Formats: sequence, C-alpha cells, structure tokens
Amino acid sequence: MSSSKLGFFFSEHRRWLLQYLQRQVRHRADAKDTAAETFCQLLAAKVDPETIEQPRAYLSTIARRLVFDRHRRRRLEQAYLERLALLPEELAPSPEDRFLLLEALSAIDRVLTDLPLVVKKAFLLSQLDGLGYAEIGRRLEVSERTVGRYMTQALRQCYLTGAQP
Amino acid sequence: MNRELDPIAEQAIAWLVRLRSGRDQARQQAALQVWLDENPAHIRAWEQLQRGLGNHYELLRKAPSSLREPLVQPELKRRDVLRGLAGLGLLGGGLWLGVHSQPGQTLLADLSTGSERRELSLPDGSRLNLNAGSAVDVDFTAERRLLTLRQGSLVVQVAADRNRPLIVRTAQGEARALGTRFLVEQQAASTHVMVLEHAVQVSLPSGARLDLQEGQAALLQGNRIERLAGEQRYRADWLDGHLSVLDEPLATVIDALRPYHRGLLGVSPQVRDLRVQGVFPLDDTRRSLTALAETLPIRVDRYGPWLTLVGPAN
Repeated sequence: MSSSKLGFFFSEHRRWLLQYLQRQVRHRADAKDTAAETFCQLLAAKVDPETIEQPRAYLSTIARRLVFDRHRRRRLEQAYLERLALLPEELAPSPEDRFLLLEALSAIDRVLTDLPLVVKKAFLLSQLDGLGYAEIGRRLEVSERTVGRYMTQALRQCYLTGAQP
Repeated sequence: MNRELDPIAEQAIAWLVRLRSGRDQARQQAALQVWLDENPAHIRAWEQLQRGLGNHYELLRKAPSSLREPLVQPELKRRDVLRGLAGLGLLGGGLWLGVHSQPGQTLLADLSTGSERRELSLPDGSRLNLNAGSAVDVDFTAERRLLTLRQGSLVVQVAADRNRPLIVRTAQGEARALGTRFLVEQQAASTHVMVLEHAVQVSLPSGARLDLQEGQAALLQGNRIERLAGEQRYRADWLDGHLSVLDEPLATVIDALRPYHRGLLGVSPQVRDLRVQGVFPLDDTRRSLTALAETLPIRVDRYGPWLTLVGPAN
C-alpha cells in the first residue's frame, strides 16, 4: 500500500471523522487523538483504502471501539486511584510500584475484557489466590464443574495474548 | 467471542484447568508431563499459555487485595457508554471563532485560539493571555467580571476594581480575584490554578474554598481542592513559547503540544505513560517531537502533513 494513497485517504476523511468524534467525546484533544488512532489501526491492519467500500461506516466503527476502550481505561484508572487513596500509609505501594500496578491492571483488564464478570472473578481467585475449584465454587455459589468451565473461557483469552509477536 | 481454539491449544488449556482444580495434583502433574513429552507442538502450546499468564499477575499478587477490585467492577454496556458520551456533546462546539487581534471586536464574543497563543485586552483593561487551543466566554456586567474557560489555559492580569471581582470559571470550580495575575488551566477532568502575583481564592460548587498566595497552586478535581507542593511557576512558561516538563507522562506532554501542531497527532498506548522531563519549543512541534524521540524509546512517523504518530521505537 503506497503512502500517497493513504495520505489521500486521510485528507479526504479527516475532517468528517473529527466532526463525528467531536459529537462522541467531550474534549477536542481526545477527538483528535482518537481520530489519529483510528487511522493508526488502519495502517496496522495494512488495509488498502481503495478496497473500503463505505469509508465512513468503516472509520466510525473503529472510532467507536476506540472511544469505548479509552473510556474503559479511564474508568479502571479512576477506580484504582480511589482504592489507592483509601489505603493506610504503611500499605501504600511506592510511587514506582503504583505505576507498574496500574500497567498490570490495565494489561489484565484488556485480556479479560469481554468475559462475564463471574468468569473474571473465578479466574482471578485461581490465578491470584491459588484457590481450588471447590472453594471458588463456594464463594461464587456455583458448582465445581462450572468453575472449570469458567477457567476454560478465561484461559482461552490468556492463550491468545501469549502468542509471540 | 469465546470460541474454540485449535485442538492442541484446547488440550493445553484443559490440562491447566485440571491442574488448577485442587484435586489429584500429583497425578495430574505426572500425566501432563507425559502429554508434553509426546510432541514438541504440545510444548509450544503450553509455553504460549504460560506467556499469556505472565508477570502482570505476580505484581498484583503481592499488592493489597483491594487494588484488584477495579478488575471486577460491574460492566458498562458498550451501548450505554456511547449513548452517555454522545449526550455530553462537545463543549462550545458551535462557538469556535477565530480571534481577531482588535480588542474591540472581541467584546461580548467568545474568544478562542487555534494553533497560536494570543494576548488580548479585555473591556476593563485587564490583559488576557490565551494558550493555543483555548476557548473563553467573556461576560462582564456592572457587578462582576466573569470569564468562563471552556478549554485550554489562560493567564489573566486583572485590572484592579474593588467593586467587581474577576472570576474565572471552569468545569470544576472558580478562581476569584480583585487585582492580581494568575493562571487557570482546564484539563480533562481537573483544573489547575496558579498565582503569579498577589492572591486568589479558589472555590468549588460545593462551597469549599482555599486562599492561594503568590507562587502557590492548587488542583480542583471532583469534590476536593488539593494544594500543590513545589515550584509551579513553570506552568506559565507557555507565555514565552516553551513547554517545561518536570515529570509528566508522555500523553500529557503530547496533549500540551497538540494545539500547536497542524494535523492529527496520535500517541500509541504503549508509550503513553513514559515519564518525560525537559523544555520543548511550542512553536515548532516538529522539533519538540524530534527532541522527545532522542531521549525516549519512541519513534515519530509522519504520514503526509495530516497525520503524525508517536509509537514504541522497535
């Protein structure tokens, strides 16, 4: 795909996409950033712009997902900061660890993103606390068999993330 | 979404599911070893699964357990989020006017800047400096002087008027002064106020107040006012055309450069949180980005004049 083709595609749809995004998000900087990310995804996917039949529908689908992801990340960050603020001084992680922990949370959140809440809970009880299925089942009020099924669902997502780049 | 993977991957997962059950651990271990020895493809699948369960979890395991809770917040429905966001609209969406440098023309009009800073005179003789990408509504009456900062950052040198306080209002709260010079900066979910001369009072809609003296600064966020420690005067350095960064994430630095940049400027999530220190020219974002790329593990790719992307170096 030639970069001039892409350049042409950008200049043709940039204005429309920005206007579309400005209706979706509150901040102009956010809209600009999301527009750039949308084109980024197009680049990463190595899509030939000439093969896109409905560019606006295509761009807005990508953009909406990005807006959602961004919102999700903010929400995670907010919840994390609130919990940090509640910790007593002696338990609070060092500034460096605070940052690394947020990164870890965000990475795990992305992996587990589309799983049902109860599946995430079961998986984290096994993965972080090393609990057996009997105990997890008791806490979540489901059978051991069901816990096993939840684990399978979560581990499929983990397996996909483990693919070599 | 959760569809089956190839058969060997499914087997590797099934082994781990059995191993984690907490029953017959020793026997499961031995049987797993046999399966792994059968075929190198089994080992590869097992390794991929282990990589997917990487170091992130180790860090979280050692942290206080309340810090995991953000992972299991009740889900938002994608639809609801998008509807909610659309409802908020874009602040001042219809009000983006170019600024005319003649002060007379700006009377009662909304002021906004594009990719340049502006210095303006207000009707009372106050001097207003607007950073690039900023927007302000001016509403002066016989009782008060109100500036509503919609976006961006301003510094105002307030002409003394004992009877009419000058108020700068943002999404979070207000800063009020009689005669002084101060900075107000509207950020994504917070407001910075920094006093350059004399004193300013900041307040929240809830009624909470704080007096700031020369050189002091505060952050207005949610329902609290937080006094900021340390030297904060660098926040006004954009007045001289440069951006001073003590220790901020790259995303914040790019946000500050963006209004000065022509075209779209994107930052990849992988490099968003890199910490930055330095002084960067605002009027030449190309040079600023080059300087960033020299000190951080990032690369800057330009796709024609409309799109510049900042991503990881490798």
